Amino acid sequence: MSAVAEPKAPPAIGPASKLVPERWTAVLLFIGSCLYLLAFLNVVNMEPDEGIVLSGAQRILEGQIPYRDFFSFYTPGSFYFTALLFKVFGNSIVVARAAMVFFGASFAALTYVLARRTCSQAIASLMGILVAMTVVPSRFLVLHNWDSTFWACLATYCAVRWLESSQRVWAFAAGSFASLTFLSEQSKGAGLYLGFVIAILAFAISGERLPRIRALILGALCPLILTLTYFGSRRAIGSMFSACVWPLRHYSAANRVPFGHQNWSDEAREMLFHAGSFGIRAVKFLAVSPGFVVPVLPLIAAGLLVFWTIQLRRKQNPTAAYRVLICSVICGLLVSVIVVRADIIHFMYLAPLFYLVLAWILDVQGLNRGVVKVIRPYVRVYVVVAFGLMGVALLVSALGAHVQVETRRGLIRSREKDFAIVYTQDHTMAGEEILVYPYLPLYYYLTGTRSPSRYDFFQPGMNTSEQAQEIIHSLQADGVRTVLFESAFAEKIPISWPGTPLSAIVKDPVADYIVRNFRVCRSLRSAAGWDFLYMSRKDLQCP
Amino acid sequence: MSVSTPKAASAPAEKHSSIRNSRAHDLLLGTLPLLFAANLCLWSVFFPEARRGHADFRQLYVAGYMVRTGQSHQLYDYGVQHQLEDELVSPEKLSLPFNHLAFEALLFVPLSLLPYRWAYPASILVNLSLLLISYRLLSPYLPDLRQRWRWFPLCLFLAFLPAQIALMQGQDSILLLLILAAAYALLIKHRDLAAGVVAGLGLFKFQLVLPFAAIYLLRRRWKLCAGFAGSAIVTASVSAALVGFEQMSHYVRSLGSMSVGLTSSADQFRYGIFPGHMANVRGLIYGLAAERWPNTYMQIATVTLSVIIFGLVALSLRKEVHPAALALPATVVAVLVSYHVLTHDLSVLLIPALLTLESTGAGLHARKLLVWSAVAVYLAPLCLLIAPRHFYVVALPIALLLSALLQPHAISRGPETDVGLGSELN
Repeated sequence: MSAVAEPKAPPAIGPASKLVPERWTAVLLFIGSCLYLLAFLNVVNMEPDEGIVLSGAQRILEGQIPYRDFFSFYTPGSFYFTALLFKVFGNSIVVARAAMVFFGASFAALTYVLARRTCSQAIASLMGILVAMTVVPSRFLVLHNWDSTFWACLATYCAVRWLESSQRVWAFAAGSFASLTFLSEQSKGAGLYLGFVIAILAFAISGERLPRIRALILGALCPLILTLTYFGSRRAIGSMFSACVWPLRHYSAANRVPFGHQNWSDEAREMLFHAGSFGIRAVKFLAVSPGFVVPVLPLIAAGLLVFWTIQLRRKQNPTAAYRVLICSVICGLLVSVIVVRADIIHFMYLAPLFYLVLAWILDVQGLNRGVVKVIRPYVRVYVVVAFGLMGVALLVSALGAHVQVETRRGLIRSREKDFAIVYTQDHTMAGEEILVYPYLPLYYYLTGTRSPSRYDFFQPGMNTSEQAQEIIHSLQADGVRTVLFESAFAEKIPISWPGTPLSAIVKDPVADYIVRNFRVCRSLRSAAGWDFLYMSRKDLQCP
Repeated sequence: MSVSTPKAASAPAEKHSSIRNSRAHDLLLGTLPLLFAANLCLWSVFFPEARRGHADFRQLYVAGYMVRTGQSHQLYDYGVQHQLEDELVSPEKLSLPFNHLAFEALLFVPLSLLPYRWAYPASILVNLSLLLISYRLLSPYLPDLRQRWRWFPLCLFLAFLPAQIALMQGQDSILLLLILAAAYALLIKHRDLAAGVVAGLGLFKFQLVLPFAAIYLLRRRWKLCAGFAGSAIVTASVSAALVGFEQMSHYVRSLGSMSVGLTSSADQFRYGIFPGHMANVRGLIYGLAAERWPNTYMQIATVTLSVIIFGLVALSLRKEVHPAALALPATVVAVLVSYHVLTHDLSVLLIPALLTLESTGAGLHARKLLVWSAVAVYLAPLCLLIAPRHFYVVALPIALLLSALLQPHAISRGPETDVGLGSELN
């Protein structure tokens, strides 16, 4: 057994940060990506998921404690991180979105420095640019998924530095960032832990040794212990545990989708593949084709892990250790995606790391002959064109959002006017309790209103009937005057949650209660084109 | 060990084949981290559910409880078993019936003294110990693997998916693995009678052990058969004494309804037996023809094909084959033609797969086929994670390994050729 990086031995691959031009390339990528991503800063398309973290952060600012005072099955990291941003920079959607800009630019720089360790500067730069153009823009929303990917990328970077230097500080940092990943998204954090376990096993099998593993474990424990201590002191530790394991029993049933599921509606499929001339359809197919490529990349990484473990054992390639580590991390993260929801969205969240495999494919060394030599230029052209087209399509979509809406949390832009926000702000007071049902917590945040219950959204098939009863009880007890009800929500279910049991769609006690006790005052169209019914209690007049 | 011919092969050929083995070993070494990761994930998902009662162990636990509390005369009564499982383990709509010979229930009496929540982890520890003992028994015959990496054979034992499934389910397949490993070790030492006695103790999974013994019967290994018959009489007598003749005949009838009588999806769901999930001839036929053929056709095809395969194996094996080496095709064919093989039952394939990976003697082509078919058998159960509904395809690499073992010179003639027996024989 030998240490991977003996102090006296020359490092197999030079840390990129030691080379000044490399560092400047990374900095330039970061700055350029920041500027590029500003185009998306305040474009809001009223996605159901955006708003969960924002509403949670808002509740924390009001003194509430997650799990004890409001329900969430996320680990608490993103709520507190966003609340901290609001506390420091002001409570506005633009502040939260600026963090997305920072994350997106960091992904580009981190992918560059990780890819650069085995790839040419041109390929590594290309990957950085493609990450900036396609990853965060594919879902420019305030989500815990981006926070967790940020921590996961940092953990991976630190792990690589640990491998290169054998220094305790890098091992400690890798463990700490892995735990921050866990504290932002439990599945991804668990996947990252698993990735490190796979790496340790692969190194052991290869007759190598990853040094300072105790520092890694200690680093991983520190954030967890701090968090447990904090929630223990707030008497929320029991509820935190039950909330964090809640998805194991309730999330998967409704969120089970085929591997690489694209989440396209029939209209979207028709528009993409059946509308326009052949040339137009070919271009559209090219632009969406990265969605088919990205889910394959971690599978390739799993195969490469076998290959590079053998190479590491044979000591035939100086980059084998680095590649085994990266492949192990990707395999662990792949498991986290498969267990949670294996749709394209969840693959894109992890694309900054998955794109490393793409970089290796484009820059494969030692195979510069035969078929590989012939097809490599075409593969490179395809990647540049397809991923570039995808990025351009996302940019054009964002630039097309001209309609400005002044909300209580700042100015937003969208393609269509959001009548629901405007009308709700005109007829409710800031801080008033209203029910937005079933699933658009962003409205609470943007209109400055709050949910009457512990729940900011309700997903049929995932949330339980007991939770539905709690919502009904809160409507009765708190004398809620207004409900914003999306009556056609069921139409979204087959597209986004095809695994939802039919019984959960048919039986909706909250909807029944709303229909019995509230009257329709107005039908309002959201920026995303969905209709919301503005409803008032039957014993009150419509505004 | 070599499953194959003498060490007479020429030096360059030896070197070449060693490289081939090395590639196969390297592939398995490289795959081990992924296998461990997959097992870890399965455990993290399965263990909490199993501890709540959703594991096969519930039927074995209740069987032990029934024997301990004097209710063994109702051991095969579906209603009583269902009621006790609901009371002692967890309420479920359907019960997993105890469908093994009754003597096995005696083994679970000690575990039934614990509450189910603790009996289940205890069963894991017991099974893990049995797995490690099996490893110890076979370890002397895996020098090549150990030479590659000290922990290689142990890791192969621990990472084999069917063995892990058996551990998770609290199943008895690892006990059968131990029994067959012990029989193999005894056969190497020419203790055929003892080997037969030990193999007979595996009759709680008679569908696997009977074809195994039948190969030896057809090869006229009388001592082994005598030992096996002795064990069979004892286990049958103990079983009959435990449950009575009425329950024994009820057991035989219930076996009929769980096998040939398993005609509809509702029946399959009731007993938790899905032929399409079996990696044997029956599974393959059900998997390929379930939607097209009536049940009777599939039964006939299964029996016919199984008999043909078994007959071909019996005819192909030469008289002079060493009884220990005979255990490898005997185990593989037992899995393939047995009527009822679930994923965890494939644990016994560790014996032929690992011993075949040690293969060093056969001719170049034969060895290549042997080693790579063993690799295929080892990795094929991963199908459970990728395409569980098509698990029947795992029967194909098993058939490939069987055909590789039946090649001329693939299996040794006797101890003088070392054939898998290595230094133990010398």
